[in-house]
Amino acid sequence: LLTADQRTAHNSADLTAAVEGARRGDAESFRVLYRDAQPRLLRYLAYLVDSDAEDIASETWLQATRDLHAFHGDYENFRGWIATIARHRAMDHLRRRSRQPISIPMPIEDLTDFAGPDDTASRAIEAITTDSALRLIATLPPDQAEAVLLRAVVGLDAKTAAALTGKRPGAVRTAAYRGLRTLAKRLASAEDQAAS
Amino acid sequence: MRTRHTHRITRRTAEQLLSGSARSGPEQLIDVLNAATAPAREGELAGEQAAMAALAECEATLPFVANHLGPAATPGERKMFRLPLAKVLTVKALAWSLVGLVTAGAAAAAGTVALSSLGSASRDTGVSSGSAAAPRVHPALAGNAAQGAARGIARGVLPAAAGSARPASLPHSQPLSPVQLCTDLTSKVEAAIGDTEGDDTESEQALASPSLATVLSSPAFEPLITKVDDAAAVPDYCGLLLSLPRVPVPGALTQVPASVLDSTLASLPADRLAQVFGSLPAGTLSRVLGGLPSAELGNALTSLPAADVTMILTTLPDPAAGMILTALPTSALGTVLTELPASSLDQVLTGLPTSTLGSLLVALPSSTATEILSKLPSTVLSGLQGALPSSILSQLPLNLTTSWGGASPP
Repeated sequence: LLTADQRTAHNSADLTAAVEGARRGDAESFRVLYRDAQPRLLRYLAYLVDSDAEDIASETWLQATRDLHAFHGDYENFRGWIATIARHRAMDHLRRRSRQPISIPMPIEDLTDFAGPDDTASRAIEAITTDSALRLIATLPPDQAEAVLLRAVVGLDAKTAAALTGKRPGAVRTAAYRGLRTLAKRLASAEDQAAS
Repeated sequence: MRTRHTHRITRRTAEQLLSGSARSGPEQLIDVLNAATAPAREGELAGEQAAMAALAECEATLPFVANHLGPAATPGERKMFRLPLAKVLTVKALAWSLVGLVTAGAAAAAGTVALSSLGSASRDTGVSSGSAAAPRVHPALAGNAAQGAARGIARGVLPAAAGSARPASLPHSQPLSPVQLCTDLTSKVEAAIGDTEGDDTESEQALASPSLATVLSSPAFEPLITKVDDAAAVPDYCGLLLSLPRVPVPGALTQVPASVLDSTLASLPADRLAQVFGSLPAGTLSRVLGGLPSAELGNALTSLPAADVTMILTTLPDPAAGMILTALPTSALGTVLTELPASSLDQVLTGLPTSTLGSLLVALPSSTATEILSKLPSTVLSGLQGALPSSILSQLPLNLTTSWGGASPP
């Protein structure tokens, strides 16, 4: 995963070319797409379906390989497209399991030492790993957490994220901003506690 | 600059944070977001090989669906319905698609929607030559098979059916026609460059686009390149096949081998042919026409309206016009010249070297030669009389000499 600047500078055209190649069935192009998108999907799906993320990601790719020929667009569109498939698959999965649509994204065994948002924030500061960062984001209210994940981790713009979640772009923007402010607040207070 | 403590994040900062381009903002939050978007960790790409296998299997079972039964009609397909020949080809393509689907249906262990819905057709019709090569899956089980394949991907294991469905063993691998390939090529380039309207102009632009090279490099389009010997000739070949009003890369039309070009031109409707010729620079036009076998050249020129033939012959440099006219079979030459209006005939014939003109006239049946010459103004005729060698003059029909005599009193 790269920052948006790097994506724009190096990858956007390459990835769009990869989308075209993959549509034609070119294996190496598909591999490029997979390597870029799969970590994004897994991290987003982990929030939606916990430890079933890998299975749902696999179903997502299976459907994507089948339907890729009908997809039209650049790489930004592709990311929105496959994230949409992933979310539908996750929601189907959750309906099958009769769960709440949004749940806390961590393995059951980790729940025992889950003390609360501030505690998670403290741990995130100690050693910011990908897991701890995702866990911290997951402590946000559901709409904020999903907005931050879709925008920052999956890499969608507000409009695409809105279409995907059935919300208005403005609502997604606001949810993501609020999420960031909440995270910043928690991180700051955790740091203050650590300092005192 | 990065700040340690701030709860005030502006919308602009938030946008930068979300897009990963923030250069200022709360330090800890930036670190958290960077960690959340860190490069793939070991294990996150564990399913890659299985996903690749699933792709390979889809490619093996679905090419016709991909190319011809997609939800959106490609620009080429919409255009094709206007042409009787293309209509036939489209029907054939659909027929092949269905055969491919029906026979390959049983191989679809991955259980696609399209295949599972057609699976029953496979049983009913008994058209299932692919079943020997691939395990049969009851349509009702297709969903389970998909689920199983998905689980396989999750564990980094190849789906069970991946090894049994090889492209070579499936009957759908019947090659696509050049028209189908060109349609596919055009729509893929259009998609790559963001054109979606798909009118003739955009198809031309797509075929002339630099993006074409990338799309064309796919093995799927190899037959096209093989057909015309050179990738540079593909855009124009496709332009002609798809009956576009102008060739996409006029200068490259001469790259198309004459044998391919003449059969392609022969299949174009006359009005389109005239448009295409009219869009070519004179140099290219003369090389193209001069490269055609005489029979095809004759067909091309006699099928065109006289005005277009005139335009073509008068556009060409004189030596080229002469070469083309002398290359025409006698019957075609007669038709072309007698159909030309007197003013154009004058222009065309007087532009020719006299030796060429002489051999043209001698080659024609005398009645035709007479008809042609009788259209010419007397000044031109007398000029010819003086210019043509007596060996030629003696072979010209008697009544022609008479008319000459009448036209130029002593």
